Amino acid sequence: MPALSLSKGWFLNMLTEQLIYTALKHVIDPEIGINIVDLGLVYDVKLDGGDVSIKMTMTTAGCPLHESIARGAEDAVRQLEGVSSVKVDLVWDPPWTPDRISDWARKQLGWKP
Amino acid sequence: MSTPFPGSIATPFTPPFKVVRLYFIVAIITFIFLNGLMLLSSGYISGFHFQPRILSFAHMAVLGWATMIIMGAMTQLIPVILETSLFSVWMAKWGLWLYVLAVATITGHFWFFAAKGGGMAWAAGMAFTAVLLFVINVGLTLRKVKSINITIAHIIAAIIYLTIVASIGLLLGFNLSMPFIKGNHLHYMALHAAIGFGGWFSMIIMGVSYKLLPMFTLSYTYRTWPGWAAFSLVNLGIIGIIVEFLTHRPFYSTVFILAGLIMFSYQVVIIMKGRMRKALDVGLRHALLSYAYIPFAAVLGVVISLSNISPEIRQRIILIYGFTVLFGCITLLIIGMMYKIVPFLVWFHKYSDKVGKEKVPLLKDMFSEKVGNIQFWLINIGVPNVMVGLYLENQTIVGIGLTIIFIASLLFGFNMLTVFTRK
Repeated sequence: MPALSLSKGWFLNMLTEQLIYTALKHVIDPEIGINIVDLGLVYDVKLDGGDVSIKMTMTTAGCPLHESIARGAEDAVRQLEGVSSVKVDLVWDPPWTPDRISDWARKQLGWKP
Repeated sequence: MSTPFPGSIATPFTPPFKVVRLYFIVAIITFIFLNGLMLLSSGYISGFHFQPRILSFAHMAVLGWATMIIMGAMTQLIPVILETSLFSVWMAKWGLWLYVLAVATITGHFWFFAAKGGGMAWAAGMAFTAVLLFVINVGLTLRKVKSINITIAHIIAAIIYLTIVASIGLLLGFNLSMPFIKGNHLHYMALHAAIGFGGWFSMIIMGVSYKLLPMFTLSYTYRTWPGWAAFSLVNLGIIGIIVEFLTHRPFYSTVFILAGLIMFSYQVVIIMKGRMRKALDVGLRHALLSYAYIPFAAVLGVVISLSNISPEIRQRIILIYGFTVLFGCITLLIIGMMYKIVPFLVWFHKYSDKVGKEKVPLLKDMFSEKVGNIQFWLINIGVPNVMVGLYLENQTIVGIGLTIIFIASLLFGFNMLTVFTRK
């Protein structure tokens, strides 16, 4: 995972979906130790001016980390320059499957390439 | 195939952290105290099992360590599994103190074998009342269940067996103070132990494993029929034990229990094969070792109940069996699960509001994994060491094993203290 500063003024104040994904990579599942993007929990990011909309899920339904991870995602994105609002939608359809885990994360979980 | 055992270990429904924490802290202190006491009195751990020190150790381990920590974990997990609130936090909180008093009184009375007078009856009465408070609390929470899955089925069976075990314990406690049972006290004690080990503990171990193991290993799609087969076979075995007790006719109950626990092992293998997290942390390694001891203990159960070995060897195997169940199966699983559950609860309590705003620790950073690994290997050496010593009736080997286990218990206590006191 690239180590990036999320301070305001980052990258000439240009807000892009890519930058939002980068910010979301700083939200880490504390049990698994992998960020929510590489776990495949983030389904979609939409940017409309300064308004950000994130569609995401969890590895399992009923997880208490819903609240802290969703709030963590919101707080991480809110720190970016140019963001005026952040909306996080937790969805269960389609359900999360291990296929969504990135190659980097698979390696972290102990899968051989 | 579906996602059979979804969930996590804390939700808005769970009771206050400080209540669950108390159960864990008292149980861990008891565990260290027990190991220290066993080490200092290792000379008593041999020969016939119905003797004051062994009875005291067994009840301290079963009630003060294992059941206490299971009660705390159940208080935390049942609301999570059912996605509903615990029936009464008050009962969980005050039931603990009554239970602690009961355990101290029971183990003290066994230690000095103070059977005369009403002390043992009072102790058994307090333990029964505290267990009943727990059972009522869990039972009334379970009333809200909408559909029964494999974990809930095991928990229901477990609390039924716990009630039976506590009831027999009450009878035995009264019988020691004011003998009234017509027949052999030891015959009832064997039933008390068999339902406790085969019913209460095995149901809890299996049910909780089906919930936590997939969650911690990211194992999602697998078949569950071996788990249900294990449930049926073990329950058939326990019913067989009761039939044998009542009719004095052989039912081969321990063979059913062994078959059930082999099916359980097969279910664990299926879950582990399908896991996404290949690397095993210190908590999971403890749990897997515990699963390896379970069929071994069940084989010993069959040997004790069905084979024609000499009474002297049989007596040694009974001690090894009890030690294997308590330290190999139950203690290793509890330690493993504590390395997963306690850091999570403390993390959730202290850091869940800080995600995304500042760097928060991972669960594995909440304690020293290095200390955990040393402790794992020490207990790995200590437990078989004691087993060999008990078989050879060699006090030196038993003493060395108990010393190693005592050091391991101190390291475990150190790691738990690190988690609980984390700023």
